[in-house]
This record gives sequence, structure tokens and C-alpha cells, in this order.
Amino acid sequence: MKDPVLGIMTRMARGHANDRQGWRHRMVGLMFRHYPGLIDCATFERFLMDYHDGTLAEPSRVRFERHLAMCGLCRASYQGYVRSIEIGKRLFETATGPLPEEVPSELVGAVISAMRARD
Amino acid sequence: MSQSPVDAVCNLPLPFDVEWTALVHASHHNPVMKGAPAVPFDMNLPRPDAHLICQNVPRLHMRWTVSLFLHCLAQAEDPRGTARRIGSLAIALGAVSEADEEQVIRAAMARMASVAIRYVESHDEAMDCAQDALIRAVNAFDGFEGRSSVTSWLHRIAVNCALEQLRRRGRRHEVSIDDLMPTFDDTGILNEQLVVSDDSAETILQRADARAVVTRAIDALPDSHRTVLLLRDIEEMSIAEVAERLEISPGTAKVRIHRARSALRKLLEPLLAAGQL
Repeated sequence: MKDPVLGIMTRMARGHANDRQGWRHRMVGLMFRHYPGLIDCATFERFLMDYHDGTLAEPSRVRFERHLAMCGLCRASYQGYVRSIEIGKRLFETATGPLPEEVPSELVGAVISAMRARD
Repeated sequence: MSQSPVDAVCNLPLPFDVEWTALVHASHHNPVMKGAPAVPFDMNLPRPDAHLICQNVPRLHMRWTVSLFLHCLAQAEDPRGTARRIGSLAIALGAVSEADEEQVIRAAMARMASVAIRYVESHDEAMDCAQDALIRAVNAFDGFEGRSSVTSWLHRIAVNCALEQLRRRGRRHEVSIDDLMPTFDDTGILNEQLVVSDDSAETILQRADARAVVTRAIDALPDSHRTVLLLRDIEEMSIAEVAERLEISPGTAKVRIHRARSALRKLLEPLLAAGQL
């Protein structure tokens, strides 16, 4: 069953960082830290890698996902984490490093000698 | 189970038309095949028949056939992939024609150096790695069990050589990346508001200079962090494998991977946001 308090808190957490000095922001910080079943942003960041790699166990995974749904800052942070990894993968998938223009003949010769030695 | 040279050729992930053209070409021109009962082939035959033709080429003349194969591959449209395949084939089969030998080795070395350069700093170091890697591949081919494609086997050898090179020369590029880590305010809430556009990684990489920006960002990471990032996210090794390769504990590997990814996220911030760089 859905926790009605969590619903109120989720609404409260919306845009909380727009006024970092405001009472709402502080309340949200306290709530993340102390309300049962919630985690703060620092813990979210600690769980991030395991969650991304699919190795975050229950109940941490549920807490992580709850925080992900409630905190816009961490949601963007998570998206950035995932996207950065994808960009890296994609970059190397479609290209290797720069191809050297000139391969020194003596190195080529050494490999050919090694090949000959196998014959 | 070990892979025969014929299987090695047939299992290469080549575009069908290239593979077929090469085999047909090889069968036509192989002097040994002339006068012998013709191997039935037809350009419209389905792929499995490529395997049949390969099997019909006498093993002794495999070397000759493969050199033609290599020649045909060189005519293919994707020069990068071709270079890689030629190198793989040449080394894997030890079957390089006299005329093409140097060219094939050159291409293979360039390819392996381009893998190594991700890990080491200079072209010279990468080239040394490529040489080591190719010699190692030549010497180890008899032990190649065919569990992976020849290409990925060669790629792995190049990575291993680069890692050894890094270990030999010790860490050089070690700067702190603490400044790139996320920070939290006194309420435990994340300090930064990251802006991430909906663009896919592919779309982002199509923006002007994006590839150079990402390459620079990865290069900016300290050796210890760049290496774990490449092994985990690009080579797709498990944390245990990364730890083993780098002779560090799995815990240390895990922390480094996470820090490297977080640093990369920070460095790519302008790229992740919508709009121009």
C-alpha cells in the first residue's frame, strides 16, 4: 500500500533546490536523511554505480529508486552518469584511437621476422 | 575446442558480399583449382556454401587462397574494418602472401597501436605495444582456442600489452580528481544542478567537435582512473577482471570506476546539456 506521507513528501520535494536557503529545502534534506525508507543524496551517489551495474540489492534498490523519483537533482545526476558512459562506449564502438600515419619499418621488420621464425 | 583455419575464415564477421566475392575470386584464380573438378559456386548461393568452398580449397593452398582473400578485403569500403580484418587474418592464419606481407603487418600494427594509444601516452609507446602484441599473437596462435573471434583475441592482446607498458613505466599522469566529484550541502542534498538534454549519445556525438571533447575528457583522467574506466566500460570487463588485470583489490577497482565515471560526467557537463558546446 502506498505511504500517504511519502506522497506529500514527494510533492514537497519538487523544485526544493530552487531556494536553497528556504525552509522547504531544509525540510526535504531532513526528510531524505531521517524518514524511514528514504536516503539522502550522498547515499544515492554511493549506490549509483551498483544500481547502474544491476548489483544493488534490496532494500537499497527500492530506496534508491524512491530517491530517484523524488529528487530532481539526483535524477539529472543519474541521467548524466548513464549518458556519459553511453557516450564513451559509443565513441569507442565507432572508432579506435587515432591511427598512426606511419608505422616504422624496423617494427614491421621485427614482426615479420617473428612470423618467419614460426614457419 | 580449437578452431581450424577454415573455421577462422568462415567465422570472421565479414559482410556477406565481401566474403563471397573473395571466395569466388580465390576459387577462380587458384592454380590448383584449375583443371580440378570445379567447386560448384554461384553468386546467389546462400552463405553456408561459402564454407563449402573454403573446405574444398586444399589445406596446403590455404595460404594462397587467403592472400587473395586479403586482397579482396582490401577493396572493401570500410578501410578501418578492413585493416583490422586483414591483420587478424594474416596473423591468425600465418598466411600472408610475400607481396602483401609488409602492408598487412603495417595495417595490423596501426590498428593495434590505435587500441593501445587509449591507454598509453605517446604514439611511440603505442607502437611498441603494437609490436609486442603482434609478436605475441604470432607466437600464441597455436594456443588460440577460438572461443572468441580472432579480432577480439588480437584486441585483447593489444590491451594486455598496453597495460603491461603502463605498469612498466609506472604512473605518470596522476592528478587529483577530487574537484570533479559531486558535493553536498549541509542538509545532505546535492549541490549541483546538472542539465541533461534528451539527446541520445549518438546524437550528442554528432555535434561539432563532440568526439574531440570526449576524447580529451577521457585523456584528462589520471592513468589509474582512465584505465579502469576503459576496461570496465569500453572493454566491458567485470570488476573482478579489472581488479585482476591491474593487480588491485576489487574494492579499489570499484571505487576507482565510480570516481572515474563521476569525473567523466563532470567533464562532459557542457556536452550533456542541450545546445552548442
